[in-house]
Amino acid sequence: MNNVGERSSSPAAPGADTSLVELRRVLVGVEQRQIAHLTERLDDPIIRAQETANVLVDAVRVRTARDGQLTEALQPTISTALEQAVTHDPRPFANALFPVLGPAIRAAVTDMLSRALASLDAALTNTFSVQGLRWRMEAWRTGRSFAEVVLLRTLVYRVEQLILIDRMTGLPLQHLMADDLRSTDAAHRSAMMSGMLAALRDYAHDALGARSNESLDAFTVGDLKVWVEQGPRVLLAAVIRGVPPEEMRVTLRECGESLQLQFGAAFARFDGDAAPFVVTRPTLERVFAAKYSAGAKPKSMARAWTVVAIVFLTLLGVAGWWWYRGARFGDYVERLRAEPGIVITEAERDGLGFRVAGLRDPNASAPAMLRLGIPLDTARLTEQWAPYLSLDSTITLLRTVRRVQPPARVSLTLRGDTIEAAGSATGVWRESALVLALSTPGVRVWRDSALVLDVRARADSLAQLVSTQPLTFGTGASVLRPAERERLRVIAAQVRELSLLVPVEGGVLEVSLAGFTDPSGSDTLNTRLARERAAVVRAALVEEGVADSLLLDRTTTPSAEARSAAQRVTAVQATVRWELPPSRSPAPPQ
Amino acid sequence: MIQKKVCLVGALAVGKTSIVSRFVRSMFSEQYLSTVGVKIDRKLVRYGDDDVGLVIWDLAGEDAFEQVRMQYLRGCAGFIVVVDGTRPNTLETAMHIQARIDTEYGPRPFVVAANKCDLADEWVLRPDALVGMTGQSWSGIECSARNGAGVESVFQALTQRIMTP
Repeated sequence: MNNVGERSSSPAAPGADTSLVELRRVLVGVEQRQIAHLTERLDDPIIRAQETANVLVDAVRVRTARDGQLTEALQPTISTALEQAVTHDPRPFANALFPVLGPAIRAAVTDMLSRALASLDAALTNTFSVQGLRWRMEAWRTGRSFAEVVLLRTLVYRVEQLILIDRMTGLPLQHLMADDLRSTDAAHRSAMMSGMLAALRDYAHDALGARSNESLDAFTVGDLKVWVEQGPRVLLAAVIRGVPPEEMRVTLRECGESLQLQFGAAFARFDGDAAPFVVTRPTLERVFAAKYSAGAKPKSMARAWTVVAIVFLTLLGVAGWWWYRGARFGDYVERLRAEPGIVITEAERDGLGFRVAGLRDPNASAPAMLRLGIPLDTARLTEQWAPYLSLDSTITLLRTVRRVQPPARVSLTLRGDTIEAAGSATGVWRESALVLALSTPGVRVWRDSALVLDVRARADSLAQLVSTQPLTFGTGASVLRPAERERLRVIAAQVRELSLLVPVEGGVLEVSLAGFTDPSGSDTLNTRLARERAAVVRAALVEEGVADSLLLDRTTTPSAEARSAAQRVTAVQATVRWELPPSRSPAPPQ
Repeated sequence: MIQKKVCLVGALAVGKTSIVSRFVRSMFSEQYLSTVGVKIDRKLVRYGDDDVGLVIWDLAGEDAFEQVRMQYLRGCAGFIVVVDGTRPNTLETAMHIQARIDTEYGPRPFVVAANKCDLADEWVLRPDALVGMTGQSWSGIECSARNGAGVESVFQALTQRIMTP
């Protein structure tokens, strides 16, 4: 490309007057060079890019400060670029947002919990306090909802609605409402409200003959105040319940100015489509505010924490009670498992109660007995026992004992499957016991080598032994000496055996005691000494296990001849009287 | 969604409020209540594939003592001039109102609604008479707020005129 300078200096015109060329060079040579330089700057895209880059940043700053049109102009391009970049590869954006999202989510969760706690606290305050009850009464009396009464009584002020209205048409550009006021016909209400507000302003202005710079700024309807902020293109109307502070007016004005600054051009282009003005919401939301009286917003959340603590402790108590009942049921089940003749097949919780089921031998201990000492609520205990025959040795022995019903002086023991009988019994009992025992499940062999069957002979022999062993005392003494004491123990054992044997054959046992003295001394003294000696022996026999009712004191005042023959003794006389014929002889043991 | 402000103007008792009531709520009342100032309502109207939200300003009727307040018509996208087909003088009032709007705000789309067409015995107005009476190319639509005839057409026609570039 040729430029002006090149053309002017080239020998393009042969034969031209060189002096004229020289004259031109002298007269406008500098300007020609400057023009050539400027042309080069304008035509060279690289130079133009460099020069634009030098001023671009400052230009953006200047234009941004002047109005919002640059932002508006760049917005579609930036949005498209972001959209394309995210579509192409979202990872860089995810990585860039990651450090921001975490804290933001945490903050949101914390805020949500805090709000929930505050809400709980407010609810508790209003529910349980005297004031709360009074409000409930008022709600009941006036037919309003409780929440409405609380709101009215505690509200200082609240911005309930905020409407951005196109001044020219009275159409709504944006309409923000408090959460509890939102409804399905919001668009209808919005259009009517904004229209009526615009009409009201026009009417008031016209009817009152206001000047052009005067307008309807505020009016009151019951508890509601409507404050209107007028901008060049839009009206900003705030519907406020309660008594707002004067600073609210400043806030409203600043909001209006901010909106005009940001969206003034867009307001001017409004043709009925309010969709582009969604972007005004963040600015409008800054005006949304509410203040409640101290009563409704307590300074601390102690009450809420107290309730949380009570709930926690209650849950802890319930869990403890639940565990305690389970543990006691476990104790009971352990006892059942340890009990012979009981097999547990099922032991579990059943709703709020417990259920235990299994097999139980009729000879095993009753479950009710096993529950003794364990605090169990039997009303919530279900038991199901199926009968079975246990071959446990304890149960087998118990079963045998219940079948053969041995007399008191017979003992039965079980070794393996062998029943061993010991003691003394009649032959009749022995015969029936033998049959019954061998037909008892778990018993196969009967042994009774230690069983005494000739009861009368044994009893007579013992009675004789007892009767021939007087206990001697020292002169004038009524205390048993050690050797005599040993003999008395033998006599006591013999008497005890007699007391068991004699009833077996239907006999009657009588044991008499008689104290004696030597002839020396007075009768009075000897009589008293004799009685003392009888009493000492009696006490000693009782002490060794002989029933006192068996013993009969037969000490008497001795006659002269008796005195001469008497000794310093206490005679023990056992007498057995058989009142029935002897029983049949026993069969030989098997 | 596009929203448009439209106004209903006309002489007193021509049935402006009844037309709005019929159009918005499908209701008609024999009881006459004079509108004071303005009443505002809203209804969606189909235009092609889209909905258009008509915000309807029902202005108080004009008579010898009270003129329509022009400031209420500021920013309106179009208007409906309502005349009473049984009262010829209401057309004259309509012409005055239309002229004032034209003067105040410039040409705007409008439709003439000739109301009370259900009163056939008393009807004195003919749509073709509009041209002759006004000297302009007015087009009127006969309608009846009482039985709903033509009411939808009035609003559809106005919407069409407003939305057509």
